[in-house]
Amino acid sequence: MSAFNAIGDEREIDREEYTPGVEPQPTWCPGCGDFGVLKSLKQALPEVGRTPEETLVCTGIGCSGKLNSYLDTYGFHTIHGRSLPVARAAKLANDGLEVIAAGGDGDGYGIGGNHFIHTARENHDMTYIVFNNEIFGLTKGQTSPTSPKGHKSKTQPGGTAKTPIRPLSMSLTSGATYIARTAAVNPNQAKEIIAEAIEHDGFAHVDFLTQCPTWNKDARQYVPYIDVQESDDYDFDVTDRGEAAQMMHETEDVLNEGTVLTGRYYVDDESPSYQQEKKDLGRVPQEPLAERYFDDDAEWERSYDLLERHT
Amino acid sequence: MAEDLNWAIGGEAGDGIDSTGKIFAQALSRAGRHVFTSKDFASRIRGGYTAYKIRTSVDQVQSVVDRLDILVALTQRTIDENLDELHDGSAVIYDGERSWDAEVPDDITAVDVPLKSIAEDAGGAIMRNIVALGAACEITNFDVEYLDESLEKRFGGKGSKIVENNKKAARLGQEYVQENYDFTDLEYDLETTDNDYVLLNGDEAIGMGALAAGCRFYAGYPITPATNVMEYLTGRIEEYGGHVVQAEDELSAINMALGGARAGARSMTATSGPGIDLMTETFGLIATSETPLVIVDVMRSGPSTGMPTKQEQGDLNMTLYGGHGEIPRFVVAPTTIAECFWKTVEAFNYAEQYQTPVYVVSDLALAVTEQTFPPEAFDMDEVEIDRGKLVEQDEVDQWLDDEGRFRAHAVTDDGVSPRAIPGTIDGAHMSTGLEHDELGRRTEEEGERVEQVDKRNRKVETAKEQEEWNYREFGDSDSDNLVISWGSNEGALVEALEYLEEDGIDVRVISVPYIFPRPDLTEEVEAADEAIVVECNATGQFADVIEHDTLTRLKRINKYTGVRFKADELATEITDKLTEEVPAQ
Ligand SMILES: Cc1ncc(C[n+]2csc(CCOP(=O)(O)OP(=O)(O)O)c2C)c(N)n1
Ligand code: SF4
Ligand SMILES: [Mg+2]
Repeated sequence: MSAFNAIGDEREIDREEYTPGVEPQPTWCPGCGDFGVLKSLKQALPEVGRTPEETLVCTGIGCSGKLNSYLDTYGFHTIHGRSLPVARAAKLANDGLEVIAAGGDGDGYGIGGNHFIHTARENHDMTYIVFNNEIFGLTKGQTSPTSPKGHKSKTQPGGTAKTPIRPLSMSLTSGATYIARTAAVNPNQAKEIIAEAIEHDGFAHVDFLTQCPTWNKDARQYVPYIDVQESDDYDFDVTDRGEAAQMMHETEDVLNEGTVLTGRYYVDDESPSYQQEKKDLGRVPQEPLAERYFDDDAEWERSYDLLERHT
Repeated sequence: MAEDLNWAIGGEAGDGIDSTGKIFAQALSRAGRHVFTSKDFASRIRGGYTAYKIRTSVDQVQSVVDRLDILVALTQRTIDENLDELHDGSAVIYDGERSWDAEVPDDITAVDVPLKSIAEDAGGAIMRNIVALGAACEITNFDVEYLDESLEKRFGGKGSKIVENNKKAARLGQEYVQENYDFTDLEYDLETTDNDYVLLNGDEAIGMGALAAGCRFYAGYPITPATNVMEYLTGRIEEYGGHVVQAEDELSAINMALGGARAGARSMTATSGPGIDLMTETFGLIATSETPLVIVDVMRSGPSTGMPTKQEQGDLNMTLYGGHGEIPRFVVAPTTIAECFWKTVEAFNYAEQYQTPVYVVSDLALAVTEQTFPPEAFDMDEVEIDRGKLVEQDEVDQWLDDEGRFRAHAVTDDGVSPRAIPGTIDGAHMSTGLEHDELGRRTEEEGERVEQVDKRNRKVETAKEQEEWNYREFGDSDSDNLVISWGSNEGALVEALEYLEEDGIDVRVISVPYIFPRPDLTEEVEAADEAIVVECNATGQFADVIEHDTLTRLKRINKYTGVRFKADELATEITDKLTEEVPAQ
């Protein structure tokens, strides 16, 4: 008998299934961009046909990390910066699961930055949503790795001297195979991008601009926003690394001047994901790693072979 | 006890000392002899003295001694480093044609063998160590044919020509000594038996225990002396439907192991001190999310980078208390290489039965030693797998609340809650490192907080009652002299008993493999006139714990030179301690 009956269960999904009975109303501040991520996930998941019981959402620590409380799936609220290793390993152990990691800009690009680089490099088959509000929200407004140059905060009262990290460019150089930026204020695009990211086979990274009206008034609401695919002013091929890199660079530069560019930046459907590559090499079994415990015929005696090597 | 032989090969790191030593150890094991090996080594890959030492006997051997009978010295430093251990019956094999002028003390038999020239005759200078093995066979009256299978195992992958050349090199070495030397005063004669043994080190035993226990996911980051656990599993775990990953750092390694465990696979990570420091960050989350996880700490000398290739038992406090807040956990510490296997198996069961982190605390002395055991020491039929309260699909209903929500942290009598793996219908729930209620939702409500803390701690109380937290005992159980130890010191202590007995001193040895929960030694300590705690650290971390348990001051023997205890040395120290004044109460 398997424990994983929910996986591949082709049933009708009601959008409300993702809303927990307890605490259905999130405690984020009014006007917070984090609502936008929640909404897009609640729309995208039933659209791609993944039930709450075959979905695992791993979050970091921050206002963004509260996502699990408002989204009824299997959820693991981990520690600051560490959602990615937890999430990618869960996917390795059972790739029938839909695995999504989510957290703040401080969480993912700062304290967890090394995991971001390596999860992207290894192209793990999962989705990573960064709630980018360019600030530490939960700890009340300190500078984050994405805060723009000159941004004043309680820890940098004179304004940060350094230019912010380039999340899209970093993702591309590291090896992510689906890279997009969307914004809470653009719900239709957000839902579509989240759905595409979930369906992508490989590491899909969505830099989600989530305004923090409480601590980051400078960023306003990320309006007006421009969709680089819709606008006639931009023309580049999302499957071309070079063109994508250039477009990302420009997007990152102009954000600090108040121009909000969003859309799909890079899509590589060719490179195999970590798990696909390992499966092809026979290094990861076809069935979930935990599956065989439920197999009545599991022959633990096979362990006898272990001794042979030592004689 | 039957007579033992102490053999060693030493040279520069990078001279193939390790693999040559291992070939000889395997040959002895195949010949039905017991072996116990140790290594002297510098952490640099090349440049620096290193030696592989073998103690062998037809009886089981479990410690090193300060005596060397046959030494293959590839450098002068090898001789100098071992002068104290050589005696007038020793033989030193060296290559007199090499540029250094070997200075072998007069009372020691110098066996000059042109290792390099002979190796070249056999097909290549690279085989000079094998020529030396052949020479050692002749001196010890050990049939050179016993080397054949080990050579096949070692070089089989490189083709039959290489294997044949090596066999030839061994024979030429043996013949050279036979023709040129006549050892009337050396009486080495290695007896053989028909017994079958397995030969393995502590890291391999941990890896083997993990596989036997159903570990199907391993994440690690290389570090001496724990790397061999990972290398053992790599390429082998796949045959059992599992996977090994090398993470970007230990922060990632432990969180990956945690992710694998969350998804339902029995998971493990292994590291040493510097890695345990990083991993400590995640200890609390493992415990509060009630995820089963096995974490192996193969201790080495610290603090900081310390002495990476040296022995120490310095992480007891770290594993016992590490992490902020109060974290329920189990800590087991294997006392022998065979126990590395069994304690790992147990650890996986405790982890799932009690849904806690379980530390397996091993040490460098166990990790780098190869030792022979009869295969029955690893009886796979004895391995049982208990997955605790993992709920299968048809059991989920029992654990839902009135509104159909899964109670992942349900408050139960034994403290253990049901565990539903992602992918189970109706089992969806969240877990968090925040304090939470039965459903896993964050709470700071006083009643719920206390209920959950008590529930998690109750698991430990349940375990204390349900499991046997016993100790291993040696020597004279009625003796007034009590010696308490933990971890790898057991072997040396057991052999020290023989020396003590010769001097008419009786001792009761208690070797403790469970650090938390652990046996209460109050009665044992009270029954003794003298009680001494032996451990490889400077401050006596285990002695502190036992003093606290028994409310009695204990004597201490501490060693922190970076070298494990030797049996003869321990016997002397115990004798001295027994007569020392008791420390103030
Ligand atoms: C190891 C550690 N250091 C510091 C903190 C305190 N802390 C909690 S969230 C956070 C930063 C939050 O910023 P971000 O990741 O951008 O998330 P946001 O709240 O903006 O969504 C910090 C510093 C912590 N929880 N753990
Ligand atoms: S502090 Fe900012 S990020 Fe946090 S909930 Fe309020 S608005 Fe959102
Ligand atoms: Mg933020």
